[in-house]
Amino acid sequence: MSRTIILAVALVATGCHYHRDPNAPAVIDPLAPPKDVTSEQPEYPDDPGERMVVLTYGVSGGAFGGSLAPSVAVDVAAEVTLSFGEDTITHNDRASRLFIPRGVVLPDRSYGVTLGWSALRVLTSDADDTVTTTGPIYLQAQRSWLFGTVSGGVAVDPRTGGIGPQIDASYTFYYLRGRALAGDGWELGGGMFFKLPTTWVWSR
Amino acid sequence: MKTVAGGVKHRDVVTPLADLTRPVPIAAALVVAVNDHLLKGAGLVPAAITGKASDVAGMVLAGVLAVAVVRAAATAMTGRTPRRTDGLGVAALIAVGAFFAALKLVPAWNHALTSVWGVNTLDAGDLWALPMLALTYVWLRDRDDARERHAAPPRFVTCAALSVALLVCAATPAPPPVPPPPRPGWVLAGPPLALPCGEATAWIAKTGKTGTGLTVRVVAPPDAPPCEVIVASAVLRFADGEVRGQEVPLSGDAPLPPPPDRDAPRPSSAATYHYLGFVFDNEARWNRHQRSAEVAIELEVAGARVPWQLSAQQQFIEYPAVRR
Repeated sequence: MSRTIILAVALVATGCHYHRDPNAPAVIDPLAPPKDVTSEQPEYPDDPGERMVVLTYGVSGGAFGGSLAPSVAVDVAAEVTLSFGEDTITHNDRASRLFIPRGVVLPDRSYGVTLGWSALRVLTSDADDTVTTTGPIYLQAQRSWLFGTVSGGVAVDPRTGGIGPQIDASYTFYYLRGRALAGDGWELGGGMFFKLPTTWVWSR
Repeated sequence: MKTVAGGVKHRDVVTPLADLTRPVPIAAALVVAVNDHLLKGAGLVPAAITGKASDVAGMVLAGVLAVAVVRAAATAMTGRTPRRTDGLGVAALIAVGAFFAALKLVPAWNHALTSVWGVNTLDAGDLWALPMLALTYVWLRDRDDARERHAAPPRFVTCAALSVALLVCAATPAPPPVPPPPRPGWVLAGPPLALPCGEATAWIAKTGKTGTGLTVRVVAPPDAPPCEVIVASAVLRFADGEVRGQEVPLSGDAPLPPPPDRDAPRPSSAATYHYLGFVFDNEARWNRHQRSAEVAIELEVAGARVPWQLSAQQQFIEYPAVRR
C-alpha cells in the first residue's frame, strides 16, 4: 500500500517544477536614477538568473554488442539522476515554449550524479539461444548542457563481480554507452531513454 | 505507375488532396495567413474584424483539409475514393467542429493546446464561426457534383497546396507579450503629503537585492509657481536598524520630460522630482523574512521642516507585459 502511495506521488510530481523564495529580489543599482523618473510603476529589475536542483528518473532501452554478450544484448535499465545547475535567465511560467510542457524546467548547464541498473538484459547468441538475465549497476558523474549530457563512472555486475569504467553521451532521448568490466569483457551500444525531471528552482 | 500497399496507385491517393488547390481553400488560407501574421495587432483593421476573420476562414480551410486528408487515407487503405459528402466526410467536418468547440469552451483542453501550439483565446463567442462548416459542406457537395468537369492538377501542385494548408493551420500568430516573472520588492503605503505650496507624493521606483530607491514628486497647484522643496533627510527604518537615503541628482541619464509612449498619469501642473537611493543588503533581509519597514522623510519648504512618515512592505510585485 505504502509503495503504491509513493509511486502515485512520484508520478504526480514528475514533470513539475517547484518555486522556492530564497534570493528572490533581482538586480538593481539603487544609486542610479530610474530611466523614467516620472513613472509610478517600479522599474523592472535586471535578471539574476536562477539555480535548480533536478531529480530525473526513468528507463532506458538499447542494444549492445561486444565481448560481454555472445552476440547482441538488449539492455533495459532504470536510472535516477540528481543534478544541480544554473541558468542565466529566469524562466517565465507565463511564456509558451513550443512543444515543451510548462512543468518541465531544465538548467542550461548542470552537474549531476546518476545511479542506474541494467535490470533486464536479453542476450542472443549466434545459435539463436536467448537468455534473460540482469546486468551491471552503475554510478556516474554527469555534465549537462540543456538536452545534451556526457557522463562517466563505474559499473559493477553483482552476478559476476566484474567492475570497470562506463561512459555515456546523450542528447534528448538518445544515448550512446560503453562499458568495460574487468574479467567479464566490454560492450558498446546505444538506444533511447525516457526520463522526466522534477525541478526545484530558486533565484541566484 | 508506383503503388502503395495493396496495389493502390499513388495518384489515386493524392487526387483527393487536389481539393486544396481550388480557389476557395486557397483564399481561406490567404485570409488566415494575412490576418494572423500581418493584420492582427497592426492597427490597420478593427480588432473586431481581425478577431473573427481567422476563425471564419480557418473553419473553411480546416474543413476542406480534414475531408481531403481522410479521403486520401481511405483511398490508401481501401483502394476506393469515397465521395466528399458521404459519412466519412461528414464525420471529418463534425470532428473539426468538435475540436474547435472544445478549444473555445474547455479550459483544460485550451490550456493543453496553448502550451504546445500557441495562444488560442478561450471565447465562446468564437463559436459563431461553426456554421462555416455547413458552407464548407455545400461547397464539397458542389465539388462532388462537378467532379467530372475539372482535370486533376499535377501532384506537385496538390502536395504544395497540402503543405501550405497544414502550415497555415499550424502556425498560430505571434503570441501577445506576457508579463515577466513577478519579483519581490518594497511597496510604499501612505497618503500624499500636503505642503504649504503644493502636494508631495512618493513611490518606490527601484527595488532589488542591493537596496531600493524612491521617487518624490512635488506638484504645485495649477497656475501657481513651482513648489520649491529640499529633501533634508530620508531614512529607511527596519526593526533592527536603519539606512540613510542618498539623493541622486536627476540629470543626464534621467531626462525630463518623460517618453511619450508611457501611459502613466501626468500631473497637469509643474512638478519637480527627487530620487532617493537606499543601499543595503536587501537579499539578506528578504531571506530573513524582514518584510516591513518605515520611511521617514523630512522636507524643507520655505525654510520650514515638514516630517513625512510612510510604511513600506516587501512583497512580490507583478509587472506589466512589455513587448521586448
